[in-house]
Amino acid sequence: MTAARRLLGFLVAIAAFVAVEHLTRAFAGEYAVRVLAMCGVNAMLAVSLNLVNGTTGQFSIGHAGFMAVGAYAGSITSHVLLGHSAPGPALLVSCLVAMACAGLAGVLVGVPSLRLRGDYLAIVTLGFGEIIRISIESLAPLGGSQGWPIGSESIPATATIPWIWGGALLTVVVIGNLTYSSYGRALTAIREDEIAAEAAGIPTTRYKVLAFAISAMFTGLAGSLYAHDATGGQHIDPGSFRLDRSVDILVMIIFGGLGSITGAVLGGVVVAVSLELLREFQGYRLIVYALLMIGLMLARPQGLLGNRELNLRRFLPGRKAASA
Amino acid sequence: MTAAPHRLSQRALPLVIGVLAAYPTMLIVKGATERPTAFLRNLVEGISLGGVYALIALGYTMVYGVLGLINFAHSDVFMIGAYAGIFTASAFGLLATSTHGASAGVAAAVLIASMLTSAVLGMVIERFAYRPLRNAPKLTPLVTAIGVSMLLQNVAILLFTATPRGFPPVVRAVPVALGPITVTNVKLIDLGAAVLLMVALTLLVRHTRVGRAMRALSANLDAARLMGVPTNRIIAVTFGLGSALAGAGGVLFGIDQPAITPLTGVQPGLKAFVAAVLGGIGNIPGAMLGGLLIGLIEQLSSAYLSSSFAPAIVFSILVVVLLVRPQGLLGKVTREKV
Repeated sequence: MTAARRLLGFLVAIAAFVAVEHLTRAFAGEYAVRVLAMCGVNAMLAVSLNLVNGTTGQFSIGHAGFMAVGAYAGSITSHVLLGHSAPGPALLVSCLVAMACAGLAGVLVGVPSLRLRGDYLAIVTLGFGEIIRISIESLAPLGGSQGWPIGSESIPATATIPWIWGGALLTVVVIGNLTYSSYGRALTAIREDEIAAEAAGIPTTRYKVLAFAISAMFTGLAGSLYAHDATGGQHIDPGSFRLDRSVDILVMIIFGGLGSITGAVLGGVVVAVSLELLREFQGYRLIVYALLMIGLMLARPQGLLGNRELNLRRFLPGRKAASA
Repeated sequence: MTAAPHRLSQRALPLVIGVLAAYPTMLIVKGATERPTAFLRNLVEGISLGGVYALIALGYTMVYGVLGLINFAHSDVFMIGAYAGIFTASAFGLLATSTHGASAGVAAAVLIASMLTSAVLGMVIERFAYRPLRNAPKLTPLVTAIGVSMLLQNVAILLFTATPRGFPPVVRAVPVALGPITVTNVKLIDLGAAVLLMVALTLLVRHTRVGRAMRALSANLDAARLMGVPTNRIIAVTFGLGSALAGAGGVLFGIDQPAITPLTGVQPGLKAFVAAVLGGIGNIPGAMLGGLLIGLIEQLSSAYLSSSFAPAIVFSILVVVLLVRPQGLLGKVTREKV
């Protein structure tokens, strides 16, 4: 890639950012924007979790904890920066801090727990997730169970659609490239047969921790953007990061097809949109949702896309499908 | 296993755990020596709570033993069991506002009715949500389990409303002197009933044809089928038994609680699951031991450390035990072969 093309790409990205910002403001109603934001956050969460549960074949049900770390770290950072910096850079810094904190939490949780396998790993990640939540809940400076903001100190509502979708795009690009790199092949090898992978010279523990940390990092990003969501309540509390949240993310990736990145995005979007569409049913909403969930799994146990990727090039004429 | 980082963490682990555990242990010992009778009462209450957890944990562990499935809906079967208890009691004219207790016959009827309801519910769930997915990828039945759990909770909210319902005084609480301490009879009845049910289950698993079939299935499902064990029927029986125990747990938990809501099952369910893993999932005595330990730990940490932090302590202990003994306390080491 030449320097000129790189510059062009950068300019196109900025133009796209501004265009999306104005387009959503001009054409989408407040409600539609809220749903779009939710789709973006879900997509980020699902793609991140998919790296651990789908690609590496480890089983985490504690990712809500990393989301909480990201959300709180991000909110605190932007609270500190409030008044010292323009909203855009402040959000950027908060997101970076959130990613760093969540990534660190991922390493701290991952190093001891990734020695375990299967359901034992699942239960330990669940345990860590709950420990993170309960710890936040019992820390008074973080607002305890009432959550953040305390009193009038609100979280700045700066994460508009291009921020959230930009974050989702970044997540997909980074995790996508990782998955199809030699690192990703090693992770897949671990999923397929850990002993064989080790015999082939892959340092399995290190690779598993790496995948776990990167996944936690992007989950933290999603948490930070969720907290700053311009359409949401600008309010976070430990109650939003219960086991239910981890389970929701798990449902998204199994819905979309475990191991497929586009499937994870699709699963995130489908879950967000279908929960909205079901609002018509009011009191029966979650009953219908649960029935749909069971029905879909009975009809299509491998998820919507299985472990394949949705390839847009297949639908475009005159181009050869790129080999993955 | 991998080399350097592994050995380092194994060497550092006991040290870290020792340092972390020293302070809370000191607090408990201090509390115990200052007021020994209160400590004894906490022990008895913890064991009684643990008995209820053990009953729920058995359902998780039995299903896991035969199918390798974490049955997320189990905690809601427990909740439905508690509601079934409330409705049976009211059919006998016993309401939450009643001041008189029930006769032993009515109490037994309430227990049996809720065990039956839960057993039928568990078998129906198995038939329609899990059996069609017997050969699907491993995580798929997990999602239907989550779906069933969500379904049960929301149907319960719709039918019984989300407002807490008082549990009728099937057993009227009376203080009982037990040596130097006094506890309510409810705790003792909970413990007695839990122990009785666990003994019954153990006898059934060890000494009957069905029990032998269950053990065969848990050892190797395909081999059991080839030997002529009717696997589908035995799996249904396993779900029925596990759910019946959860239903009994629901009643025993209910008589000790101020009120029941459609989300009552979530927290005890989670702790019972932790108990099953702690004891070694798939292992029946392990679930009993795990349940008792979790009940004790929860009671002691909320009495001597911090009541809001007690659940986190329960999970920390789970994490520590699994790091030192990855197969759980009584679980078998399964060596992986190439």
